[in-house]
Formats: sequence, C-alpha cells, structure tokens
Amino acid sequence: MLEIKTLTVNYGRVRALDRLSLTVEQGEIVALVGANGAGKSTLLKTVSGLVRPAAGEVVFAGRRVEGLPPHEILKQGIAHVPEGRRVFPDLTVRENLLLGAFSRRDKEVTADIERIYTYFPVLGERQAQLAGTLSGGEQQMLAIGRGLMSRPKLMMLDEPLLGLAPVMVDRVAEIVRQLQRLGISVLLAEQNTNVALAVAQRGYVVETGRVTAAGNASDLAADPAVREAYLGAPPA
Amino acid sequence: MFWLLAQQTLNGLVMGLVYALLALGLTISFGIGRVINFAHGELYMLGAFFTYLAAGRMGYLGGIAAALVLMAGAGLLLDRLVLRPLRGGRASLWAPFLATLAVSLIVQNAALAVFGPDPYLLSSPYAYQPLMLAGLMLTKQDLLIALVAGLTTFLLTAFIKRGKYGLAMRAVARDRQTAALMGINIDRVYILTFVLSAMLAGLAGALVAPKATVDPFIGRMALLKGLSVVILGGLGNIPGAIFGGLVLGVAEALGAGFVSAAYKDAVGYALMILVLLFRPEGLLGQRMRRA
Repeated sequence: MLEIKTLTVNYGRVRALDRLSLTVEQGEIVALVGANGAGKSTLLKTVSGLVRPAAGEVVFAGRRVEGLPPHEILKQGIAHVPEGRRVFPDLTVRENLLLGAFSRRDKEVTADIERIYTYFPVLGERQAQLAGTLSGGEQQMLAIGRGLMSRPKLMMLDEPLLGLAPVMVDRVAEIVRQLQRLGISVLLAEQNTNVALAVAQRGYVVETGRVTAAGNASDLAADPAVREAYLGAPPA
Repeated sequence: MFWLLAQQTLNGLVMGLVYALLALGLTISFGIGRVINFAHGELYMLGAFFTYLAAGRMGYLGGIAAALVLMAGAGLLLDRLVLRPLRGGRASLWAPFLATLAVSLIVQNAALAVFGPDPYLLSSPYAYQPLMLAGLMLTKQDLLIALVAGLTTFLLTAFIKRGKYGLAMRAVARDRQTAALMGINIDRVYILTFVLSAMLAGLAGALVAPKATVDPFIGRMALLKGLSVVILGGLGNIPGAIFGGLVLGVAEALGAGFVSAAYKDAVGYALMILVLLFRPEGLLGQRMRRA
C-alpha cells in the first residue's frame, strides 16, 4: 500500500536519506528502528509532504505522492502523528480533534469525536480542557486520536513512546495494536526497539539514511547485531 | 467637570473602536502571518481614497462597500506578490518586514503622484448631524463608526473563536508545520489573513475619513496608532488589540479634554512607554513562558 523507492533527501549539503526503499502492506504494522538522527523522522516528514525529496518515489495506493503539499497527501489517506506529539497546547482537546478532521466535509465528524472518546475516555473527560494541561501520555493519546480524525488508511507514528512512563508505554503499544484491528496500517518510527519490534510484524533498521537490516520483527529482535546495537543486550 | 469626563470618554471610545480595527489587522498579520506589516497604514489610506472615489457615484455607504472589495484585492496582492515569495526557503526573517516597508513607500508615493499632496474631503451624510444622548453629544457619523466597528470586531472575534477557518488560523499561528499535517492548506490561511487584515485597515480609513481629511500621508499616523495599540494590548493578542484600542482612544480623548488637544498624541505615546516599562507583554498579554 505504501511503497518507497530509492528515496533521497538532502538538508543543504547533508544527505539525510540515501536511496532508501521500504514497503508497508495493507493492514501491517511496520517498525522503523535506529538511533537518533538516523533519518526516521525525515522519512516520515518526506512521506507526509513536509520535506521535499531530491530523488526517488513515494507511491501510496498506486499513486505517486512525493512532492505534493501536506494537505493533499493527507487526503490520500496518510496521517502523520509527529514527534513530540505537537498537540496545540492553547486549544482545547475537542478543538485539537476538530483540527484533525479539517480536511473532511462529511457530517460524521461529531460522531467520530465521540468514538475517539470511547477509545480514550480520558480525552472525553477533558474535552474542554486546554491540551497543554494534559500529561505526556494523554497528549500522545490526543495526538493519535487527532490523527484518526482524518480517517486514515495509513498512520505514521513518530516516537510515540518517547518520554512516557512505563505504564503509559504499555498503554500506547496496545493502542498501536488496536489501530491495526481497526484496519489501519501503521508505520512506527521508534527508538524503543524492544517495544517497537514486539508490536510490529516487520521492521527496518535505519542507519545514516539507509536501511541496514530488514525482515520479520521477531527475526530482527533475535538478530545478534541488532540486539547489540539497539536492544542494549550482548549477543546471545 | 463630570460632563467633560463623560463626553471625552464617549469620544474616546468611538476613536478607540477605530484603533481596535487598525490593531486587529496588524495583530492577525503578525500573529498568523508572522509579518509586522509596515504598509498597514497605507492600506488604511487606500481604504479612505477608494471610498472617496467610489462615493461620488455610489454614495458614502456604497463607497465603503466598494472600497472593501478593492481592499480584499489589495490584501491578496500583498500576500501573493510581496509576502509569499519571501516565505520559508532561504529568505531571512527580516525580509518580509523590509518588504512591507518598501510597499509602504511605493504606495505612498504612487498615491502622491495620482492624488497630489492636497487634502481631500470625503463627505458623509452623517458627519454633521449631532445626536444628544443623555446630555452627551455625538454625531451620527460617530454612531455609525461605533456600530460598524463594534459589529466588525464582534464578528471577527466570533469567527476566529468558532469558525472552521478561524480554528485553522489559530493552529497556523501556533505551529504551521503541524497545522499542515492536519490537512490545512496553509497558503489559503495566509491569503485569508492578509485579505482580512487589509479589509480591516481599509474599513478604519473609510470610517474615519469624514471626520478628518484624506491625503497620501494619513497612513503614517494610522500605522503609529495601530502599533501603539498592539504594544498596549500585547503583540498577536486579539482581545488585547480591542482592549488596547479602547484604552488608547479614551486616554487620548481625556488628554485632549483635560490637558490640551495639542498633547493628545503625546498622552498616547506616554501610555505606550509606561506599558513597555512596566508590562512589556501588554495589558492583556501573558508573561513570557518557555514553550
């Protein structure tokens, strides 16, 4: 459903992505793991249109989307939940969710907001509260809920576990699995390799803008090189 | 004594609503468009001249309506021709600021070439019609100003608070990258912002013109007043712009009434300096916080 072919992105003279290719199939959770600065965020930003690639293709549902503006790409069905949650702190929880549905013109937006409140009851309780007053975990739920409001086919999550308390990490991991049950494909960029590979079916390891390893999530998690580099465990 | 106080306060509130219109336009171009628009005064001047030109055929109120349509065009041109090419990319943060300064000079001199330096009189059928209100005097023009400016302020605030694009404007003001991820066409929000801003400035010019005269340089003072209000109320703060406008209007009118009309502007600037000294975030502004 998402096919990235030899994508190259430059920031000035720095090459952020170097002929990177990967795919996400319908209904799949794919993990993108690797160190800070490896190019995971750049990849997501390029797919969602915030960054223009120097070369390569992004094909989504059979259509080339690279170079389109972000609002056009969102309309194709790709939602990007950015790193650091980026909720609008001086808008209410409800207004944040409404913004997530900005591209929609149908009349089911209110019903969808109610549905988000059933997934995340805490958001319903705090719907009139400013988003800036929520805890980190709650803000992450809001960011994911806001992403869902566009009714995406593919959701890209950038570091959703970063800075969360352990109990919240489990909670958000469970939410990612739930997205899959809703029929949404997920591309999960995450430094918490343990959890990311436990949630995903497949994974890619990214280093300095290139894919250095790819495969089934469980195989990657067992790979000695990956374990040593990213799981903080010596090779078994 | 009491009557002078009440009368000058009333006069000040009327002028204050005009200042609020000016400041609202400046504050949305700064808060949402990230531009301190130094051509804002020229938009005010154009609004007055457009009304003058159209009023000959359509009457004063028709002239205002025609001028507003033209002002929407002026705002569109300002965004498309001047500001958009400088947005993002490699242009410095100072570039749009200097560009609006250039626009200000160009428009001023173009107006000078077309209209000459002599003042024009824009006549309004309401200008010299006094009304008595509980012992206080104001002209029908004052009443018109208060009604139109008050209603515009109310509608704009409601739109920004409740409207779909109002919400989009607030999102873009805060974080334009994330706003883009919400599916907001950022370009369209900028156009809307500068069209609204130009219409607000033009409306202020059209409303005040019959109380004074119109010449190519009236924009300078309008910009100064608008900037003073924005500083009083807090940069980018919409309720602050309205409140600041009223405070400046009343302070000036009281200064004129109790000290001397010659010191009217000085009172306004003194107030601005005091606010900068003791409350630099503006009367309604929030204290600086680290995001």
